Amino acid sequence: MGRRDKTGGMWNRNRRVTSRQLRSVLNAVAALVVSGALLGVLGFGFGTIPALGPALDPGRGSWTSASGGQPAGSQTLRVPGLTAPVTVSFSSQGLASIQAANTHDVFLAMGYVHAKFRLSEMDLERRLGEGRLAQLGGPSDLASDEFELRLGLLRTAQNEWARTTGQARAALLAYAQGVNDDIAAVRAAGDWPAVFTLTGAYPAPWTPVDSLVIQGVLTQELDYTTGPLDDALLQRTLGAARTMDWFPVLAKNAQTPYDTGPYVKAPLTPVPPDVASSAPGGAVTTTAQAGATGATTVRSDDENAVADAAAQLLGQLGQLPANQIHEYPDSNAWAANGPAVQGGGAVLGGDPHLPQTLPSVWYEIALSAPGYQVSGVSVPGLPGILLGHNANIAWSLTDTQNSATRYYAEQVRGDSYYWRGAWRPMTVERYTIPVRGGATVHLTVDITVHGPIMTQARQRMAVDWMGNVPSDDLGALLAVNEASDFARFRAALAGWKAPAQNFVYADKAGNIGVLAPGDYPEVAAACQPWLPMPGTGACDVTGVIPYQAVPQVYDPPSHLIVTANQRPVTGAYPYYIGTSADFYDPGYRAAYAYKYLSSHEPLSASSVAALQNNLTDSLAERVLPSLLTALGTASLSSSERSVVSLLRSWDYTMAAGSAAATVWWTFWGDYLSTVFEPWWKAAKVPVGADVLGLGVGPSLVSLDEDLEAWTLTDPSNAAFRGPAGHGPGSAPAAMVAAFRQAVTHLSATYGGAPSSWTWGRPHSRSFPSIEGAAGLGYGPRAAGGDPFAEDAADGGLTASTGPSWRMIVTFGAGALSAVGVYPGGQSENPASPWYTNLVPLWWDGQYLPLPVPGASAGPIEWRLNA
Amino acid sequence: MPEQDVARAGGRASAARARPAWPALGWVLGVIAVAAIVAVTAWGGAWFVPFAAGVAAGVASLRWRRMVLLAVAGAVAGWALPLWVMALRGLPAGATARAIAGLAGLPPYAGVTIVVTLLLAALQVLAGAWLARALLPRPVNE
Repeated sequence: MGRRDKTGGMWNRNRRVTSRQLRSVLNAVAALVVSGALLGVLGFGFGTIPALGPALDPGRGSWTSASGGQPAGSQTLRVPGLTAPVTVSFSSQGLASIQAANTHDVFLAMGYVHAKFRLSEMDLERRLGEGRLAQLGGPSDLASDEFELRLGLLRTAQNEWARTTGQARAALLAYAQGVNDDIAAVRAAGDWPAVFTLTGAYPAPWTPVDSLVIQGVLTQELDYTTGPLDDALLQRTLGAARTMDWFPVLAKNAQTPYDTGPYVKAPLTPVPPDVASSAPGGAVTTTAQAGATGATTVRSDDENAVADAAAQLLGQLGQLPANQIHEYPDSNAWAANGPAVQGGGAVLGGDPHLPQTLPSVWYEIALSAPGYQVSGVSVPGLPGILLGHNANIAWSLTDTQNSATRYYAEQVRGDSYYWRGAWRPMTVERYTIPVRGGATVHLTVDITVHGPIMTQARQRMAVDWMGNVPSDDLGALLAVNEASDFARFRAALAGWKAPAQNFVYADKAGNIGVLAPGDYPEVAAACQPWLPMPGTGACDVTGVIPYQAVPQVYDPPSHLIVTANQRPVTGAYPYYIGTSADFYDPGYRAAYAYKYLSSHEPLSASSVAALQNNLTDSLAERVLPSLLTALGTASLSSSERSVVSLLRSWDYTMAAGSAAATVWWTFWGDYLSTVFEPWWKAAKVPVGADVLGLGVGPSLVSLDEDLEAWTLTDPSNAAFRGPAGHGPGSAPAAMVAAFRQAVTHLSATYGGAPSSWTWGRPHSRSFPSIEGAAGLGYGPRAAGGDPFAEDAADGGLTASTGPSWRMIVTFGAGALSAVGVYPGGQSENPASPWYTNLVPLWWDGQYLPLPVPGASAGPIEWRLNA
Repeated sequence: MPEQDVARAGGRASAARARPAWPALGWVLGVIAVAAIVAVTAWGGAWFVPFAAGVAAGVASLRWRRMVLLAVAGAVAGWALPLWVMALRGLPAGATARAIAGLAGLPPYAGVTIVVTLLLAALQVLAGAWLARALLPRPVNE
């Protein structure tokens, strides 16, 4: 072997050694990096990926939530803070009854039971109201947090708590302790609901402010509206005259208000102008210097700037989770008495229509303590019963739908705004928003005398919302729980401010009534509250309608009361309560209910139940004869004639198996489009800014009312001619065109015989999980109903808003009978047999007896000891 | 056969002769032991024990190659055990798995959560074993 070969061999060997060492080093580095990354991600999570190690640890992680999914059994539990033993019993369906020695213990036990079955829901709702959703859900929830912190549910709740006294204060404190007792027990056992272990964001201790925030969330969902913002955009595009004509204060169609007068005209009740602004001991507050300079001054009477700000705010609202602000008006509550009721006495039926979710917004329970005996549905997070009965009275609620949101275009210079002839400093609140998987966001909220500035567009827009006025609504509700007659009921509700609600009433003496307490904000007559108003002071809220003048009825001669979100008063009512667009129901359900109830007297629980489950579309009942008349003179194809024969034999029922129902609904949408869409296109209405509030469709109730009224009484209205004069020209011509369009569309979509186009094919109901988790909701399932039916289905063809609770209470011959049902179950745990067990009953129109206060609800019993 | 290859083959043969043969019972007992440790510590919240088991297996695998496989089997069994016990106690393990999958944004099937959970145990073992083998000097005969 030569020298050269020897050298080459050594070189090769060295190269192999070096290469092997390099590979070893790289391998070690890679192993370290991969192991470190794996342990890091598993231990701490990454971005929105949760810390999967502890989350999926089979001994301690989210698997332990299975314990909350097992059927409840009888047991003895330690609940600190109780002054005496408490018994909680459950029916086999999960309906609960609490028996305690005093009201402190009953509310403490209620908090404990709510948390036991709904802790995730309660935490999620308080996070929503307090602007802390992004900490749980990541950047996608940031828009919601920013909106809520600007609007100020937390500031309002803190203000309310500072003012809360008496029974409400005691109830909130006891309730919070009950919730915290459960949180402590769960923490000790480690069996958290899965959402906490998956996210690593465990619930903070519960406080009375949290309960008041949840009350605020419910108020916002029922009461915060965008009507003036939509109107500003409509007025800029369609013009002021046409906007006021098509979106009038009083609807064009026939209405059936429950309070027909005579009305009381009394001086307004003043509202302190600035109570919604600041938070005692809350966020950091600084005061800007008056007269500061440096920023552009924008006049608040610049219509284009106002409309731009409206569009920007609508854009922000469009990013919120569904149903965070009020969208659909669909609740029912009826009462009848005397000769209208079988055997005399009184009957009350109530079915509030809200987003139908799993778990439900409701928890069904009976509460019993000396002097406090009440049963019905409660809201997890709040003490007391919101809808229900005691031994003497029963009540249910519908949303009054009055306009309680006022927008103000503020004139701003630097950190100041112009109000009543002078520049004033804005209050500034600063917040930090933790974002899971993202950087913490800092938010500054400017507040004027009207309320918080909601948009930072060239034109600043402040909102004065009655839900931000601190009030003792909980105290009012707890007093209602204990009322024994209408006088006490009425006195109790004097403290109820927001949301304004129709409280429908019946009692064991056979009396019925309805009262709509709440703050109805009034402005000077020269102002236009249906639009954003100037913030200079000229159009400030001057007060609210005095309590003695709010809509109300007691023992009417007709022996019937119907509320279904219709305008509660006639045009003679001496106060402004909102326009047809902002935002009353078109009145079809109310009119049908009056007709049905009066034609089925004497009424019983079963006839009320039949109406609650009724699917008749009252608009179809009014308009279809005109359509058939128009089609009778038109030249139709054979397939069109077969569709006409379907309609001729239809009973106006939006049943899942009805093909005529599909034709009707498609026709009505096409009829609206045929008449209004050309105007919208010509005027360039920015529908994208708020599809629900600006888009032509059945949800824009003013257009439903206009078209119905024109069809029946003004078939040559100028609207039928279209913006360029090339439209159908009349209602009959427009109806025929829309009918043909509907038949063409349905033939192309479903094919086959028209009789196969059943309503259950395009239309369904869905009860999504509140976390939006796939597979944890119910449905979509083919279903009947539409927004105009008593058994309403709203929110689109896959409806997710409708009767969230059905209740019937009868007082007859000294006996009280109460039944109810809601679509869901008492437990939020998807693994629990009580997660969806009530859905089949609700779906089939069945009811369960409400648990009786003071009696055992069923075979499962918890003994709670301090 | 070249001289070096013969030497290597002889080396492997002698190394194989030098290692004690693990009877099947030994493997089973090993899996059970690892499973027991992993399960007990999982109940205590120590979710990272499969990784530690993997490190130990990686060290041992320098002498007994199949130790990594044993550790994987033991860790998977150890994380499956609490789930099995949960089901035996009448707790709704399947429905809970489905709920967890839904909440985590995964397809809402029980099998998904179960597979992901057990996969995490296996991944930890493999990562731990890899790390140990990568950092420790190998025997000359390897």
